[in-house]
Formats: sequence, C-alpha cells, structure tokens
Amino acid sequence: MDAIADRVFADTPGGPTNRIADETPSLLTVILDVNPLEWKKLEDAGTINLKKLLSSLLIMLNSHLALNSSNQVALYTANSFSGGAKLIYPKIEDDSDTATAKKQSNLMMSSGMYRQFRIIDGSILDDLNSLLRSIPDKLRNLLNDGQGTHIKGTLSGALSMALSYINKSQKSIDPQQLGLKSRILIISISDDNTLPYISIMNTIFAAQKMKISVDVCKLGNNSTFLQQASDATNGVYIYIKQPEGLIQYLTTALFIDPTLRPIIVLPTNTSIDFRASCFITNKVIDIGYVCSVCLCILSVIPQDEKCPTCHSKFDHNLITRLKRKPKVLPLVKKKRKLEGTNGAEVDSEVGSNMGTPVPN
Amino acid sequence: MDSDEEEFESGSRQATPGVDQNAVSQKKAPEALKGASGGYAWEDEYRRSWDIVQEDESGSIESIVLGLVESQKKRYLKNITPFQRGIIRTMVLVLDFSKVMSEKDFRPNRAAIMISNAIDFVNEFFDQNPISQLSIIVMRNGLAQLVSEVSGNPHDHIEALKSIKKLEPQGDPSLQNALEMSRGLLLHVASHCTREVLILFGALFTSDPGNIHKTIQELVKEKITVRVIGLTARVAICEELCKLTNFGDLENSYHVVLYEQNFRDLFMDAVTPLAVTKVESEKKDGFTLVKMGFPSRISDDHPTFCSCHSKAVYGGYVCPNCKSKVCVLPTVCPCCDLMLILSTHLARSYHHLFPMKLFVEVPVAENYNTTHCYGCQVKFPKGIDMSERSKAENKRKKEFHTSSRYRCQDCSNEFCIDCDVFSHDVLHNCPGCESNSRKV
Repeated sequence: MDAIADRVFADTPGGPTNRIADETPSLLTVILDVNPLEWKKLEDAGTINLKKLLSSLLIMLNSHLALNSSNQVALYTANSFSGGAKLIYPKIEDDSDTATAKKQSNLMMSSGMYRQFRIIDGSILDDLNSLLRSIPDKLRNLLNDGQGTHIKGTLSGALSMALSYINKSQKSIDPQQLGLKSRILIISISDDNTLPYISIMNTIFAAQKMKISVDVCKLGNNSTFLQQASDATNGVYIYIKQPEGLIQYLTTALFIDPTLRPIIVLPTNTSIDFRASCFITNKVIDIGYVCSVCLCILSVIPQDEKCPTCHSKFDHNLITRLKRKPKVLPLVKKKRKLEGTNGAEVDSEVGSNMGTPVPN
Repeated sequence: MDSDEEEFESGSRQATPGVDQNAVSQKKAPEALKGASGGYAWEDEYRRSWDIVQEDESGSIESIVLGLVESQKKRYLKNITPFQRGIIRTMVLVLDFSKVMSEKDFRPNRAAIMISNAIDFVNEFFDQNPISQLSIIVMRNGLAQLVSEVSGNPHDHIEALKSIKKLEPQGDPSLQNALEMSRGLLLHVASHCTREVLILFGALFTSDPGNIHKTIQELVKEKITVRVIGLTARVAICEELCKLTNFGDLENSYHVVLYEQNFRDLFMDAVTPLAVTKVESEKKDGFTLVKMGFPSRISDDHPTFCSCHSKAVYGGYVCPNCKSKVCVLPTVCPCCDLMLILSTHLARSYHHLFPMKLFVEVPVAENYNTTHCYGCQVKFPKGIDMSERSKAENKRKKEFHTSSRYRCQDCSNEFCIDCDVFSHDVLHNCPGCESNSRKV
C-alpha cells in the first residue's frame, strides 16, 4: 500500500525527456515559524537568531526570483502570538496603497539594489518588524487575560492558507500564473507537540494530492511529523546542525525546483520515524491500539472500554484478551553454590521451571 | 416507479442563474419533480444552449461567459453529520460484462466507460480508504469470473482492469453466480471489517442456475451489504437485494444512472465508507480494538533479507515489537503477528470521521466586512447599492445575485467559492480556524 504514496509522484510529468522543463516558472512559498519563545531559546544557545535567518532567507528568495523573470514568491508566518498564521508577502492590495508606499523604510536596503528585490525585501522586513514589535504587548495581554499561555501551533493554518493560494493559482486563467509549479518550504523551530496532529495530516494529504512538495528546514529539535510530511510529498527534510551555514543549505539542498525533482537525487534522510501520536496522552508511540470505528490511536486501553473520540463500546472479551499479560515464569533460584552438596536435587528443580526449549 | 421519476428529475434541477426563465405557470408539481419553471421538469421549454449566450451592450460576451463559468462551480454541500463509519472495508466490485454492455448509449460503449470509471474508482477508493481491501469480479457468459483477488494494492486491481479492456462483452449476466462468488471471497473477512458488494448492472434480467432468493438470505445472514448501480432501469430483483441487505434502506443503496457525469458521481459516492447503522451497532456486542505497530523506516548500505518475502532489499520497515524487517506496508508482521501500518494510512481516513462544518453564504448587502478571501487573498466584489438591484440592466450582473463570500461559522472568516470547495473537498481544514492560535 506504500504504492499509494509512490504513485502520486511517479506519474509527474517531467524527467530528462521534458525539454521545456527549465522554462516553466515556479512559485516558492515559504512558511516561517516565528514563535518568539523558541527563538529566544535558539538565541540563548548562541547558534542563530531571527535576523541572521532572515538575511539568509531574503538571499534565497531573491535568487529564486532571479532564476526566471516569471518566478514568484510568497511568505507566511506561523506560530506568532499575534494573529497566528499570516500572509506577509505578496501584500494584499489595499485601497490605501499610497500609505504603505511612503512608509517603506530602507533598513538594510542600498539604493543600488535591483528594484524588484528592494520592493520585496523592504515589504517583508517592514511587515515582520511591525509583527515582532507587537508581540511583547500581545504576550503580556495573553498572560493577563487569565487563560494561561497555552497557545495552539498555527503551522497547519499557514500551510492551509498556502495550499489555498496555490490551488487558486493553479485554477486561475491568468496567463501569468498558467502552468505555475509550486513548492512549499517550512522553516520550523517549534517542537512536535505544538502541532495539531489531524490538521497537519490533512494538509500533508492535500499537498500530496496536489503534487506539491513540502521541504522542511528544521532548527531546534528534530520533528517526526514534518519528516513524514516531506517524505509523503517527495520533499527534502534537512535538520540543520550548524545554523551558521544556513545560507548554504537554503541555496543548495532546499533550492530544488519542482521541475528538477524527477532528475535530481534528493538529499533526504533515509531513516524516517513513522510513529504516530496518541489521542489521549499526545505521546508519540510505536505500538498502540486502534479503534476499528474511528481509527483513533490509543496508547492505553481506556478504563471504561469506550473509545474516547467516537464513544463506541468495545467488545469486552476482546479487551480482556488484550489486557492479558503473558505469564511470567518464576525466577530460577540461584542454588549454584549448593551444587556440591545436593546437586541432583537442584538439577531437577531447574528443569521443571524451564520454558519450552528454543528450537535450534 | 415513482422513485424512477425522482432519479430522472434531479438531472434537470440545476437551473442556470442569470438566464431569464420562462415564466409560464403550470400546474404545481411535487417539490421533488419540479422543473425550472415550477411545472414538471419535462414540461419545460427546451432551452438551446446558444440562446443563453447573448451579447451585452458593448457587444462582448465576456460577462455572460464568466457568469456561466461561475454558476458551474458547484458548492460542496454534503451531509456532514459525523456518523460512525466502518472504515476498515472489504469490498467486492462486480462489473457486468454481458452482451448489453456493448450498447452504445454511453460513448464509445457502456463497457469502456465502466472500466475507465472503475479505474478512477480504485484509485480514489485506496486514496481514501488506505487500509481497506478490494476484489473485482465480472459477470460474463452466465458466469462470474474473478478479475483480481482480494488485496490492498491498487496497482494490482488497475492492471487487472486494464487487461479486461480488450475483453468483448458477451452472453448473459448472472447475479446469483456473482453474489455467490463474492460471498466466498468475503467469507474469511475479520469481524471488524465491513463486507460490501458493489454491483454495476447493465442488463434488465439475470440468468441464474438456482434460486437467487436463497442466496440473498445467505448474504443477509453473513451481514454483507450490497449496493447496485443500474445502467438502464430499476429491476425488481436488485431492489429486493438492496432492501434486504441494507436494513431496508433502498434510497442510498440502489441507483440508476441518468447521464455520464451522474454515472461517475454515483460510482465515486461509493468511495465514502458506509455509516454504521443503529440496528447494527446495537446488535453487536462491541467494536474491536486492534493492536497495531507503527514501524520506522530504515535504510542499509547493503541489502538485507526481509522477513515477508525473503528477498534481499535495501531498506524497509522495522517492526517495533520484534525488530524484524518487512518491505511493504501495511502488513501483518510475519514474526509476531502484529499489524504494521503507517500513521499516515490511518490519518487519511480521519476526515470521514471529523467532517468539516459547511460554510454559510453571506447574504447580498451594501457593505461587507471583508474585502479579500481569507484563503487565497483574492479580492471580493464590492457591496452593491440595493436600489440598483431591481433595475433591468443589473439583472445579469453577478454581484446582484451573490455576495461571493462564504463564511466559516467557527472563525467568521470569509472565503471565495474556490477556497470553499477546496477546503471541504481536498484540504478538510478550515484555514481560518487553523490560523487562530487561541482556539484549541
């Protein structure tokens, strides 16, 4: 059944025979995890900070645009405390376009820069700046409103939005977007337990169906689900051990155009952890019980013998059979010391306690 | 017979908005049989497709074409009640390959359309029911012939279907033989799986070797549900068959095809797992809990033997229980009998169980709260002046008929029709709800 996953990508048009391959424009959608608490952790560890990452990311976006004049980029943020997932670029065309234009500050821009790059970089930096500036207040508000700091990860929301955007561009009759190939790059720093399991899985299947590769650039801790995401969609998963060289990762391994994917051997890691998450305890498990009605994954058998998600009653006999523990043999008493005195007796006792001999 | 009319009608229910309708008032037809003008569907005046297209003031047909394109976009309106469903399915697909299938009422002929639809069905079936199994039978020359064995690999079935493409439809169909064979195939299926038969039936008769009523009784006893898609007309024996094996629920189990697209839609409806009926769940002493393992994939530099086929392969999956290596999933570990599966296989079925709420259309108004679709950031049309609404020149304009906004009831974000369809059909997530970091 693994063939399902393989088939989806096997019949992708392309391959060495496709000559016009390098002429098709492509859309690069980047989802940037801006969870401030996680960034603080990374910064304290002294490896990388958001500023360094952004400058590398901008170089990547610019080089993507430089490859083909019709190439496009899109940038979403996820896991921010103010507003969850958000589209940063392309900017929504507002009626008050003039107001944003004059606000354009030149933080890192030199006037000699290629105009298109300057516009994009400027607008991205401005938006991120204002987003980051609002976060401390937001966080304070959250702490004060008494609901605690429990915040759901919004990576799935950013992914959903990105996929809707790509879906629209695929259906569009606009000649600029015709035949536009798309890919998604996730730059993630948060842990797996912030990911809502079902919605992340849904987005993975949607991407798989639409034949959109999801590349993952992982900082911080390794992630099981994002590995599965990139594996299912023929993407690249890279766990970055040396963030100093981030620019190199971004412009090489994570820079493979969708049209080149059939030709290039992807730098995927070959061992992937396919474990699932338990619905009750949220632990990642490798052996679990699955309800035959709703397929929810349980790490423990529920006390009331009812499925916690769909409330179906389980067969009592079956539960008792599952709960049954294997019989443990009583430990063989160590009587070796006594062997000299009454050896014969010891021998017979050991023999009776032994399990079935293992066939050789 | 009246259900036949019902079937007939639903094809013409979809009136094209934006087109002046013939306002001849006819005698009031029952709701289900109503045509575009209020009378019976077949009393409507025939509309020629080229009459619909009319030039506007500037002599361009662009606006009317856009309107037509828009009205073709069907919204996703399915039942979203979260039923208990039998997700682990075993299905036997029975295809009629008797002489009637060479009729040319579908082009190029019935058999060819059936096979191409069946191939799509198999793909979609395994896409949405990854841990289910399928088998295919054809009815030909009064016999039932096995096309593909019960298996979970879509590839096998598609290859088998492609190979019978060349087969010439021949002889009479025999429902009894096909049902008996399906019964045999479904005999050993475990109790936590559903047992289903889907029959595509082109003929209006069946030539059986024995008493088919006895076979139907056996099917009922073994809890096999049979659904039939008829290609010609309703047949009494199929009606009885469906009624008895579906706890009297004929409406969802027996359909007759109206036109080509309808055939496809009916076929694809069978992809969604059947809901567990109340009668069934009460009768049962409980559902099963299956112990499953989620193996990790490994890769080695040198090929090693897998425990399932004893072949030397690079990489594979390691059973978390006994650490033996298998090469394909899902499977049952040959060493410790643990069911091995990928979590992604399970997750694929979740949207049947946790369906997404439908979006609500925002009524036409002068001012709207939103200017852009939350999902794809496409600009919405602006609000309209209500006084302009009744004017004749605005009748055809799209923004006077619909606000083009569809709102999620949970997060109150508004979406365009494309994103509405996409998020319900493919994504199964609401981008708005997922983007909110507060809701758990």
